[in-house]
Amino acid sequence: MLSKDFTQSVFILIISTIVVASFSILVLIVPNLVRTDEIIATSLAKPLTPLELAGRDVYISEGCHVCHTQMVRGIEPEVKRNGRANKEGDDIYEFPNLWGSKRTGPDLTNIGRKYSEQWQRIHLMNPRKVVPTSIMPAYPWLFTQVLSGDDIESKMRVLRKLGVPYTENEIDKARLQVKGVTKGEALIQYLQSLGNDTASDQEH
Amino acid sequence: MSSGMDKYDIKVVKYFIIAAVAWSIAGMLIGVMLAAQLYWPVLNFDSEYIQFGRLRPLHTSGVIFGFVVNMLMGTSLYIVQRTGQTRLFNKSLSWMVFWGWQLVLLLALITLPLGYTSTKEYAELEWPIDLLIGLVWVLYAILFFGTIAKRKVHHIFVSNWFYGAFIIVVTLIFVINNLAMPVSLTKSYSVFSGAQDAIVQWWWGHNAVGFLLTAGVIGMNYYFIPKVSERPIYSYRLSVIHFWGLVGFYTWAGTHHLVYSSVPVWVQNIGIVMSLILWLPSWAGAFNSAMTLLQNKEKLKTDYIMLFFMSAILYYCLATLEGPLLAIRWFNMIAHNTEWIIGHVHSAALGWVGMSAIAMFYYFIPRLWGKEQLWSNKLIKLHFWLAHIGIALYAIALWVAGIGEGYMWLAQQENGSLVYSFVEAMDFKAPWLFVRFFGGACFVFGLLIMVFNLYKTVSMNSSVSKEGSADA
Repeated sequence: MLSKDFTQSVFILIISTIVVASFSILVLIVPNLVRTDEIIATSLAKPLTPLELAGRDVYISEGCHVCHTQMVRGIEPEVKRNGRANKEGDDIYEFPNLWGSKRTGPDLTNIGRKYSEQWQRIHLMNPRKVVPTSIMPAYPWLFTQVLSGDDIESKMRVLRKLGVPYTENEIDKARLQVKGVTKGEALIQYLQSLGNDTASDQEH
Repeated sequence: MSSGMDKYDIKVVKYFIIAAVAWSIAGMLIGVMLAAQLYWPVLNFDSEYIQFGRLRPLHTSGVIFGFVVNMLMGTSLYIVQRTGQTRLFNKSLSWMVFWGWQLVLLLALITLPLGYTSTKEYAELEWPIDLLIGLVWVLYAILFFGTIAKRKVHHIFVSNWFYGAFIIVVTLIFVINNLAMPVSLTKSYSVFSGAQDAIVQWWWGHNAVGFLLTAGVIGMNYYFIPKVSERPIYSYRLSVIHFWGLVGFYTWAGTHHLVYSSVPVWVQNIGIVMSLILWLPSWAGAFNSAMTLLQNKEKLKTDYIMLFFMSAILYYCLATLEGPLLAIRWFNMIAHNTEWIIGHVHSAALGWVGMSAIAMFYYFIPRLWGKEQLWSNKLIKLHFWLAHIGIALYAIALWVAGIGEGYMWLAQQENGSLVYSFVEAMDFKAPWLFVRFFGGACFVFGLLIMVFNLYKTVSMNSSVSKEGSADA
């Protein structure tokens, strides 16, 4: 009897737990991790520019993903509200995914096609200026803190190793594009890019 | 059992339990602060360090890794000694685990408000801290399993299976989910992207719940519930079913977080089906623990520690029914991304984990410090009702807010256009977010009363003999 063994030997307890818990890795995780090429083949995604990438890291650092999703589910009213539904290939350059798990604020998958840069600026400085009952924090410091651009090249090199097709030329020019720009402006560039790469795919 | 505590290594257990109490207060106070920010956004104070986006990971990390892991490490290192009738495998190793883990928490406390984050939910810490966590975790595994190996009794007690599974599965999922390529000391990118990353992330996210907040706490309760009830575990066979049911099915359920997303449909469906199956072993285990308590009905009527454990089991039943329900497409369509999910997590985290922990603290802390009686029975009664009112308000408020906003997001006119704007849904739920804040505050206020009561208990002039203390 199995129950006799794992209750008597610490070795069997460890091994049997690992084996039973690992089935899900083999069936659920591994088959999805080896499909990378297949997913890329269907993708419309374009790599972010250096400034947009810097903005994305501001998004990450401030924890925007804590309250905003970037995953439009394929449900009619949701598409009506948030734009085109995500497809599997959309996020191949999203290291890591920023789908989020909570919509305290609206979904941002396609936000780049909705507002002007000026609106984003006012909203980030004080959300209640444009949405009176908004509960979003204000982010005034984003417009006083300036990016040095010192780490952008190493970021792009790491991403290239992971599969984002940045060219050597793009990487060489990156620092000058980022240097001196405020965090807020970089973030706005990132936000304005969201949803543009898939804009041609308007089946809904 | 007249054998004294001096037969075992107790000091490190005390340290872990004190750390757990401290982090439970800190982590939940931050939670109350977050709840307040969602009602009064001015409480973000235009500060980059305490604005919601940075504070929220500190709340979850503080509660999960500060409160719960300290508690599970402390109780497991106690239980593995008592049930094996042996000392710890290595005393200095136990102190390395303790201080190593506190260092992890200190680093979390510093780096998360500074904005160093991997974004991965419940795994936000950057790679150098992840390496430290890995190291401490391996030492903890060696200490725990090493102590089982040198036990002086033939049988490995039920609690230790669950603690063992907690240690093993958290290792597996933690390592895979946190695979990242460093850019600098404070920045890295996950090696997985997009849909693939999401599958790995939720495989971790849900199993952190399954093995840390569920299996680990079950292990703890399989020791303390029989102790408090003064009765043996109701059914040994059910505890075996409970164990293999959880280990076998839990690791599959994570993709129910990705229903209707862009991951393949079969991956979503496995998550849904396995979540439904999980309902069975969960309730089998709950039945087992409830029956253990019910075997001593007389004590259950008057003893608030028993009642706390009973409440924890009832909340476990609620959460393990609600979980599979939320995995079903129908419910998921409405509930996904809404406050309902936050409510669900908290009826489990406050109701199941919180009440189990509270019961354990009230039973274990006096005995660890050689006391048998609590300083005040009135205060534990007050705490019991504050905790219940707090969770009930919390859960009800977020049911209303979550189902309400979920419905409003999806509602369409006959011609297909949307009925409500996003802002209308936000305005609808605002008062309910206040109720949630109030409920959470009640719960934390109860915890503060507990700390006061236990402090008085421990510092009371001892009228209890040393022999009495041995019966923990």
